[in-house]
Amino acid sequence: MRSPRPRAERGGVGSVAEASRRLPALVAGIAAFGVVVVAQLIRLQVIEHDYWIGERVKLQTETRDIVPERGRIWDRHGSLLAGNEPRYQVVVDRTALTDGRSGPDNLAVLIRDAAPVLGLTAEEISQQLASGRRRLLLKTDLDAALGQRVMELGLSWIDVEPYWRRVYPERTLAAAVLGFYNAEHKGYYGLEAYYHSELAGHALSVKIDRDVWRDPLPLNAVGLDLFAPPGADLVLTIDRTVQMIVEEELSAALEMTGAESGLIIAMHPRTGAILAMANAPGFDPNSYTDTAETEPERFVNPAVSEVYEPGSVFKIITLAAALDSGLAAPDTTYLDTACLEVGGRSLCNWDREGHGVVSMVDMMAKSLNVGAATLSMRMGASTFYNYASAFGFGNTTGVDLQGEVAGHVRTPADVTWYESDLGTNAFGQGLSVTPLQMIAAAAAIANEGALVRPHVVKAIVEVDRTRSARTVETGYPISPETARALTDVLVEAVAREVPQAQVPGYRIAGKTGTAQIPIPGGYDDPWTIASFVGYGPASDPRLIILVRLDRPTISPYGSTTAAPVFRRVAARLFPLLGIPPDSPAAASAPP
Amino acid sequence: MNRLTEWIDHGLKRAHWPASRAARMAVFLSLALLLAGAYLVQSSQIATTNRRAEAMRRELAELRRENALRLSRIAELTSAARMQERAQALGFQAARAEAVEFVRVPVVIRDDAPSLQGDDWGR
Repeated sequence: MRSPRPRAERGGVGSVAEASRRLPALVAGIAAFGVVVVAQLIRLQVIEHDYWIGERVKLQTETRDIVPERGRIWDRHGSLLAGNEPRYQVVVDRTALTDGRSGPDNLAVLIRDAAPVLGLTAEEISQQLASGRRRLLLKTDLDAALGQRVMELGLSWIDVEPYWRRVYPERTLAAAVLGFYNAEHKGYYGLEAYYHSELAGHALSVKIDRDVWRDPLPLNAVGLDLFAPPGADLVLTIDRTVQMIVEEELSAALEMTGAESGLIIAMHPRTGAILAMANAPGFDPNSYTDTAETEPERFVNPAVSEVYEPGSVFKIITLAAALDSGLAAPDTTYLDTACLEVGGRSLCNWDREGHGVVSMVDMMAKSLNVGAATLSMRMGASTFYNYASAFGFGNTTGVDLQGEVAGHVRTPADVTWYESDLGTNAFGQGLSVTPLQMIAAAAAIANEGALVRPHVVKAIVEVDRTRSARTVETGYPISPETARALTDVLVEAVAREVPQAQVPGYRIAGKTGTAQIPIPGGYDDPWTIASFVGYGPASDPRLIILVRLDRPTISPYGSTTAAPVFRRVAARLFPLLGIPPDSPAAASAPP
Repeated sequence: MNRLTEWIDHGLKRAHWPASRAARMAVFLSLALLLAGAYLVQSSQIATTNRRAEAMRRELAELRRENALRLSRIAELTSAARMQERAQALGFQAARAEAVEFVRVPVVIRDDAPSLQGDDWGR
């Protein structure tokens, strides 16, 4: 049987000659096509590589900012003062409602199922849609239960995003020290502002892959906050019980004395650890927006951010300078006249009476302005202001709180200084200090002449390490001998003239202050700032307290308004802190 | 089974493959199958592990949130003001210095006892 002849031999269209003629053209065509493909590949993959990668990223990924959990704030014994609560916000992408893939249905489902849970009406949702934004924030500040209910609706195109809300479980307690943290993730005032970078941690921007429907892939979108390590915790020197007692007593004092505002600071004199820092009226950081609208000045911590003329409390510094410079001793006497002329200005005692020959102890007990001015005149401006500066006046203390101011002590180098200032400054008028500067300076006397930096944070606890605060001595304005001698003078002065400040069994060293309030053009008569700073037990000072009452109405004097407050606070704090009296027998004697 | 063997034999004969080459081919195919299987097992394990990791990550995030919520709730319920209120309701009252008697007790302080120095008040 013969096999059929090949087609080419039959002389048809598929002949070898014809094939040979067409083949180069075909090869050329394929080669040209190949060149075009390769050229396009080079254009897309090399020349326009970055552009197309960018397009891909835009289409397939989404960037989310992850705000880590903010560091918490604890008191010295581990009670939570500032923490975080999970809250939820409900977000929907406009395209899921309007892109046509199932848009009308999704909108209907949103209005029918989700809106009642969220407490939204159809009109409110329509208004949101009219806003033109792509990501619509339907509802925020949902609690965990409500967030869970929305998630259980099973609507994949609705994002229920968790976030942290700052909470202050002790409410108004220590608010001025803590400050507040707002919805824009920023800390304001106090510790929230001062330690913002430590508390905030490191925010992350994370790229999340999206599926073909532009929904985030669950593998990427879940638990993202775990990747952002939380901010550092702060452990404070503040004791919440001490703080509460101090705030209670301050509140009672305002009511009793009719003062319009006031503050109390309690501190350990040897370490500078602040146990309590209270001011009234205060605010609740949980509802800072209400305060911001009505009385934003309440956010300011007057203990560090406001200055005042300290009045006679400053005589402690004047006498310290005189004793330390050797110009006076506790038993040194001078002739006290009712008034003394300094720099052409007559400076008088508060009672406008002369007290004859008096010692330094009498001068402090009776709080004689003439005596203080006499001492500063004897010292001279240079010595007096050098000591004032050495005690830290005119400079910030360096406390770890936001907004500390330095106050101002004019010296002969200032053009606005007059010779009479040397006299008035000696009894605490004509200069401005912060309450914290005043208590820190007085603490130096309790601390045998060493000035320590006040601080509020005991430790910063990070994920992998803990930084502990240590006592920082910033200067030695007077010698230990002078400090001890001055303490004895102050104990004697309190014992003689300020029984209102005495705590049975405890030797209290202290000084009252009654200062006029400067206003433009003079003083705001008859109003005063009444204060008392005291520490005890004098044999081993372990607690120093400053009380300041602004514009008391029942009496202008520190001895009758601030000193009793000191006594009440100290009487509660000594046993609470386990501080034994100087003489146990006296302490346990019936009152 | 016989039919399959016959079919393979027939294929080998038609391909004019020697027996050794057929054996090599069989080994190669077996290895390829083994590799493919291992790859599939590995891939599925990775997917499963990722799924599990995702679930754990979700759970951990949720637990962290629950923990934070409870912490703040406990802090609120045991706030200083509430504790004082509760203590007063139970009949306790704050001790004042004049009502406290300090007694000196001669004791030997152990080396590891909490320090009463510095800013620690021994509480």
